[in-house]
Amino acid sequence: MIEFFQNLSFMKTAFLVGILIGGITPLIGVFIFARRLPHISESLSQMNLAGVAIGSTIGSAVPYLSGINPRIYGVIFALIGAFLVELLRKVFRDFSDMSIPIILSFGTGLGALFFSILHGFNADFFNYLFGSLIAVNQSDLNNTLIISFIVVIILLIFYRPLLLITFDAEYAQVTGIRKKWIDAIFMVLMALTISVSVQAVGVMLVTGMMTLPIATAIFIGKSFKSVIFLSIIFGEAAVLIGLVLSYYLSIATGGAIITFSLLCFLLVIGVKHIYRMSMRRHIQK
Amino acid sequence: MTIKTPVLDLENVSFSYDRKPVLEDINFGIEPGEFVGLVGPNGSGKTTLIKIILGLLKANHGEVRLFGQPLSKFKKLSWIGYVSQKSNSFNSGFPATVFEVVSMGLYSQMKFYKWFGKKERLKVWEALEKVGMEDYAKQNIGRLSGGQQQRVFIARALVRNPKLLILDEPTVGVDAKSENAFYDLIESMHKEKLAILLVSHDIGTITSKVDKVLCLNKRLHYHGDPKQFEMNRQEILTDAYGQHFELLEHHH
Amino acid sequence: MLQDILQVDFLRYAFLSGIMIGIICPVIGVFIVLRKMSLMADGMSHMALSGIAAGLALQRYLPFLYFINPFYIGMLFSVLGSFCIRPLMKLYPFYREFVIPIILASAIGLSVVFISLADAFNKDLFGYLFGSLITISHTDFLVVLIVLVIVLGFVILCYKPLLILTFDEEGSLVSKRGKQVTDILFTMIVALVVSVTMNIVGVLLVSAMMIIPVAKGMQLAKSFKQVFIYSIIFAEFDIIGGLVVSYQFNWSTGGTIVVLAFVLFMIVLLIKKTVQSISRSKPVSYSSDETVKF
Ligand SMILES: Nc1ncnc2c1ncn2[C@@H]1O[C@H](COP(=O)(O)OP(=O)(O)OP(=O)(O)O)[C@@H](O)[C@H]1O
Ligand SMILES: [Mg+2]
Repeated sequence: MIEFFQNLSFMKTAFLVGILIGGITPLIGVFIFARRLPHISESLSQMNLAGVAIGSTIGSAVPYLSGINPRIYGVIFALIGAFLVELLRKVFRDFSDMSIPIILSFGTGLGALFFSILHGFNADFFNYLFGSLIAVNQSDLNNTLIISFIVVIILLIFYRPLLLITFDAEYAQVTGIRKKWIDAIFMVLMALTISVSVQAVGVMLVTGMMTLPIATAIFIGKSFKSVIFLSIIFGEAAVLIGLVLSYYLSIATGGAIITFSLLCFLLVIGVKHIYRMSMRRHIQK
Repeated sequence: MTIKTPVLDLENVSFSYDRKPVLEDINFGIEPGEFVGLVGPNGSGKTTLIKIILGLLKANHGEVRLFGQPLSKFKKLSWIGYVSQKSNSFNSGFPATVFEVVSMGLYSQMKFYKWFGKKERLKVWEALEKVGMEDYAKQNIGRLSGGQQQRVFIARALVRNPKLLILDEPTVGVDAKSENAFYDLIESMHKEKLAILLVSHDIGTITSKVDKVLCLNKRLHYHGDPKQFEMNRQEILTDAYGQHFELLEHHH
Repeated sequence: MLQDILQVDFLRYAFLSGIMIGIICPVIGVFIVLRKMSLMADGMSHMALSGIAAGLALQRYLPFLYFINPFYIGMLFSVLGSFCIRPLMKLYPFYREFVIPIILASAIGLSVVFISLADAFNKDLFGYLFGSLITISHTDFLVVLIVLVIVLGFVILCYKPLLILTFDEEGSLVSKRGKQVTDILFTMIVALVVSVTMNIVGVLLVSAMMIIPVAKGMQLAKSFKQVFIYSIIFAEFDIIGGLVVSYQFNWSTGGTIVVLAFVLFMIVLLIKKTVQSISRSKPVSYSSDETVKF
């Protein structure tokens, strides 16, 4: 324990980044869930990987572009991914579920390809895949802070139209909301959130942060507001406890965070199930 | 704006999906406070017509005017209340309470920095009371019965204080008692000088309540007074619904 | 290159296995796509990864279990995962598509924990994730051969029940029991295919191998049989092309194969669109849309 506090200043950055990510990821995740877009967030995160890999390759090949942070390529590729998924869903109207694995694996494949071109199959790449919150530095914290701030502000401004479209797209259009615009804004929000969350949980696990806390909260909350609130609580708990666990058990952070989320999820399902059973028995008596 | 401006005015409206013509040469108007019933067989284009009026679909020919203004220039969208057919467009698993759903009716009128305050809450409660759903305010919308959901959506339309209310088959899957309650509700709104466009398959009930009947099947086969409609009913319906109409009616 | 293939053992095995996988994957893939199980295949491959990771951890902490190949534990997890999907879907009746991301994320989360425990963040792991040529041994080659026989045997013997399962899920042409049995057999075969394909293209890219060739085949084919034929041709092209390129340039095998497959897919789509738009401008156009459906 003492050791833990000694390392606290070193861990402080990690905790701060964790708190930010543990908040905004489930926040966007609730909308992703309600809009039935979890597959898109999955594809976006894989395309984000491809973007970072390609960005790094460009940076090392073309010296005067090396100043551009590969993350920026990540965001751009994530947006391209969103566009591609929609395109493929239109092409395969009857088998639209096919478009997700296609884009998903294309992103992963492209990422793997470019990292191998870079000879980058190393610890950094693992961190990128599975997260390494403990390794974040001050500039990561600054980036996360700025992007979280932007995400929250945009979300506050567009909260009502977004909610309307999510609940009933046709009605929203009747009340004069431009669906295309709001959709595009939402895609940008998703791409931004994914690209910052990748630091904590890694490309492979971002979707987990965007689904598991919500999957848990949805069992308890009744109103939309309560689901948002609970999702954030579960998200924060997962990040913070996962961080501590990963430190003590020396497990990759992303794995610890997601596994803890999974345990919460199973626990809530279990408790709810037992509760229902006992209610039924109660009524029978 | 003079009182005489019609609430809604369609002129030579035609529409086709891809190449399949669905509506041809539709002309009619709705006066302020008028209660209009729209009937027609399945697939006759009723929902399509309504979507054109709401601007969800764009007519190939002709013009739609709302409150005297062409559709593209019309900005006072809050004057129009809309309840869609069986509300199948709504996201039924969405974790929202009845109160939140009705509040959404006000959202598009509010700037993002405007707090959802006491005044707004009061409006929501009033709308819920009008449809008799105030006891369910805290319930999850997905857990309500189809008829109850329909009432909530009517409340969502009413909370905007519309001048024209458009209802697409609101009584589908609603029991007889609730259906009566529904028509009482519509009548009371009609008395408050609200213009109403109601789509229904229930021809008998419609003709006894409305000021004007529209009978649609691709074209308007009838357009006018319900009494006149009742007198020539057989003829008009055979014309619009085809020869098997008798068979259809015996089912009811 | 050709000389290398003939002389270097692992390359020969890799190419022969690749050619066989090019038959196995699309044959099973056609049924996966038509049964709308594409996402399920994805979930199963990710579960296979956590199984392998668990196997590695097991080997580290319980060395006397060395004879259990992580590979088999991967297969086991993959089947278990597929059985988790349906009950989970019942939990979210309104949001069925939500279940797959949960499975994917949980599977990877567990994998990472197991990998950390096994202390296996190393070169081998990249092989599991993205495929590798070097890992393919004589035994692997034999396993792929056996799986090929099993898959072809299964599809030929159970062709009818499979078709019914695919096109008439609700109908009552076959007893409920018969459908369940076919369904379970099919799921286990998918797990088998996932596990063998994994060696070459890697866990994260397995589902691509089952789906992208079929997606291309469906664009061109005019009958059900043609879907099989085209898909196999495309798959062979992707795999062999990918293997050659990745060997020449020392690129990631799975990455190269999948990117090649995807690029080709986009080209097929583009060609089809252009052909369509050309024939659209002529009066007789409607039939070309209709015939693609089976
Ligand atoms: N999105 C669409 N694309 C193509 N055709 C459509 C579409 N929606 C409706 N149609 C066709 O247009 C015609 C009119 O449909 P519409 O929904 O307007 O009928 P309706 O009168 O509302 O029928 P119902 O009484 O069943 O509600 C039908 O033949 C239908 O098949
Ligand atoms: Mg309709």
